[in-house]
Amino acid sequence: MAHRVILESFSYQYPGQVTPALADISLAVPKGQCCALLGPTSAGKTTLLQSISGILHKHHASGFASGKIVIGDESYAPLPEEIQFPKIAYALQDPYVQISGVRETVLDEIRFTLENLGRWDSSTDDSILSLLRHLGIDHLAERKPTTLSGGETQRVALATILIAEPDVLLLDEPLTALDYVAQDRLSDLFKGIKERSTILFTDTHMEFALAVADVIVVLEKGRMVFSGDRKGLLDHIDSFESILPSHQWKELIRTVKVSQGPEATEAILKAMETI
Amino acid sequence: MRLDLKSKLASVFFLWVCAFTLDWPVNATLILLAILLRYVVPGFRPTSQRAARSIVAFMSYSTLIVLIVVSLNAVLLPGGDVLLIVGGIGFHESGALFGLRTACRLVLLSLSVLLFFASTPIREFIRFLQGTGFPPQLGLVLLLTLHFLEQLPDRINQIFAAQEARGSPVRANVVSRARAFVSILFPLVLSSISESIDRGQALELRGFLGQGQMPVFENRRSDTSLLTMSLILLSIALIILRILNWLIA
Amino acid sequence: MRIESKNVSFSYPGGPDVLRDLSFAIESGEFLLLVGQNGAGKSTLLKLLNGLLKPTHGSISIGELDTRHHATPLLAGHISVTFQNPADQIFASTVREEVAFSPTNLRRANARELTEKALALCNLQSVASHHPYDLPQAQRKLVTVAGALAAGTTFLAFDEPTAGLSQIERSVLDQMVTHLLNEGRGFIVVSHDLELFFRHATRVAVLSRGGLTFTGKTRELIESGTVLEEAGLRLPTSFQIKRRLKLP
Repeated sequence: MAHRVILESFSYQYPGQVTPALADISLAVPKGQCCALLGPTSAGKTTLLQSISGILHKHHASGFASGKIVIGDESYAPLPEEIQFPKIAYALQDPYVQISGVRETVLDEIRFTLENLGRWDSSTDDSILSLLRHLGIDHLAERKPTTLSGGETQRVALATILIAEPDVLLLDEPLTALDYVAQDRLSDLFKGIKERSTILFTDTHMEFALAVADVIVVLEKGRMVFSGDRKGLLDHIDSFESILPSHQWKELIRTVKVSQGPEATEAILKAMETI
Repeated sequence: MRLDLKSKLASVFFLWVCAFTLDWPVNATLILLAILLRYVVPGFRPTSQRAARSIVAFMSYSTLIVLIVVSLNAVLLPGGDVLLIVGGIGFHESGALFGLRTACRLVLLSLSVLLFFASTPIREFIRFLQGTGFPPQLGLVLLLTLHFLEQLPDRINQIFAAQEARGSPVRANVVSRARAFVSILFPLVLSSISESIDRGQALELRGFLGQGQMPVFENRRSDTSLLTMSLILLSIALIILRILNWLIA
Repeated sequence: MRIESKNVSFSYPGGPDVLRDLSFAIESGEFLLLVGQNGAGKSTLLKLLNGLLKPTHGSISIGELDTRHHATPLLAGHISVTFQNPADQIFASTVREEVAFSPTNLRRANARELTEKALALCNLQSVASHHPYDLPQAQRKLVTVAGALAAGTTFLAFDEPTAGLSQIERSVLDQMVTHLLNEGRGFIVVSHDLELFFRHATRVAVLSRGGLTFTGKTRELIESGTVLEEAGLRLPTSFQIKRRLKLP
């Protein structure tokens, strides 16, 4: 069952640092919704996901945190102190390290998660294969995980987490090595698991977020500079050029705004839905 | 009957005791039996093709090592009859026997360990260690180290390829190879450590060695515990016999 | 100068063909964008270009040099290739040293100048004396790109250069490509980031299941419509929106 995720004036400062990695973040993601955390490198996106997952406190217990994090009905002040897997699952940014490497095949690598949870039996292989199909990598089931290409590794890494059916799914830049078609599959998958998981993911630009996110947050240097929905972001995009994917996008938005006036944002979002 | 980990460990222990206490004909027989174990006893079957290959590779290398050890000793340790003269070099009986004894012992010792690890999923072993009070973090370190060692040759090749792609003649000759190797050693270890830390986090995040989620080694009584006990008792008996033997002689 | 691939096939020993019958050519001053689904064999092709792998059939020539008969360190004087994972490519203890690796090995007379120019083009001067491992992943990736630029080769080949980069680093790459194309250098770029590279690409090659299903001008590809879909790809989102809104 999907859980809501709420941050109340949450701040965090790494031990030995003079400036906070996150400052006064307030954010509410209702259960079953998808939240995109956007912003440039070192904006605090990863720290935010790590503080929710519990690994941040576990590995930097002497960091300074304040505020409150609420997950479902549980409230953590200021943040969870232990890894909450499988209630909350977090996939690291580098897909290569997400692969344990101790298993011979992709199928086995994903079984490994279920074994850790004591959930594995012969019948769960069907659900693993069906997950692989959804991700478009069922043909890789018998391949050795350390011999895959970047985009393939990325999707296997994702599967190792998704199979746990977490209430809250935290993904750090899940798109980096994916081609468009793989991205489209992922967006379908995100929509398909809404009942089960609330999703928070990070990305450096807004394109994928415009296709899937209910809540969009823009971070800059640890501060939240925008929070709202897709329409709100496009309406104010001039202030957040750092998350535009390309020149073409900039041109596109400008042209549409000239031709369609106040309807421009709606028109772009509508066109996106048909892709 | 599928052997559980305890009986397997007991078997390894037993073979070690045999290696140290018994003479080479018995040890040679045990080596042959140990190789058979891998085909006969379900618990000793290799977990993967790679593991099976490693046993085959070990056997061919150890044949070579036995030959070298025996002939070196036969040449260097005079005594007893001369078995063979090749090109004016004599091969002596007592040296050959000593060599045979040492070589059989060495092979039996390493074969028993190899059989154990080739047939035991590493996670099962770590779980077993955990069950006996071994700290879970050490299990994680063990796992990461194994992964690091496995990936090392690939990694070095990748880095060499990247250096070649930038005009460095790393594979030109032995000297340039050695120099390039030294130059990458430090960054290799550095990047591997930082990657291992991340991989460790990822494993933790997937519930590996998590808070009580991991089923601890089941301490149930099994039909193999009798075997375990008898192997241990037999080992102890062998040790005592050997000591008595030594005292009397 | 010209790179030409004639009927190139490649398979790893004992394996099936990874690449089949590839023929294409690019001149210096051109930008060849190589696209294809994950696992289509794009990275293998880059390794063939600088002789790290040798074709099982057919031939590749870099200018006058046939890659079958020349070692990688020699070919590296004409084509610089970077790979996806920066961890495999960084070994020096400062960014500047790292970038200087190629020109030093290649004994370029203007090694120093090449290094500084590469640092400037990749916006790395301010961190030139840092340890590469102290930089964030995205900047480390730019270090490998700068390392390739500094070689001063006519051709540059990059494997997924924008993976993991934020918009800031992507626009650095964007400007760098524009600058070097004007200088007459040639690019072969493997990337799924069509959004960024479509406007630079003079030619596009579509790789699908080991074979080329399209080589030609970018405009022809856009107009052809189905080629990309057949290769399991699609046009960048901004292009599609433009189309749907019937914008020029």
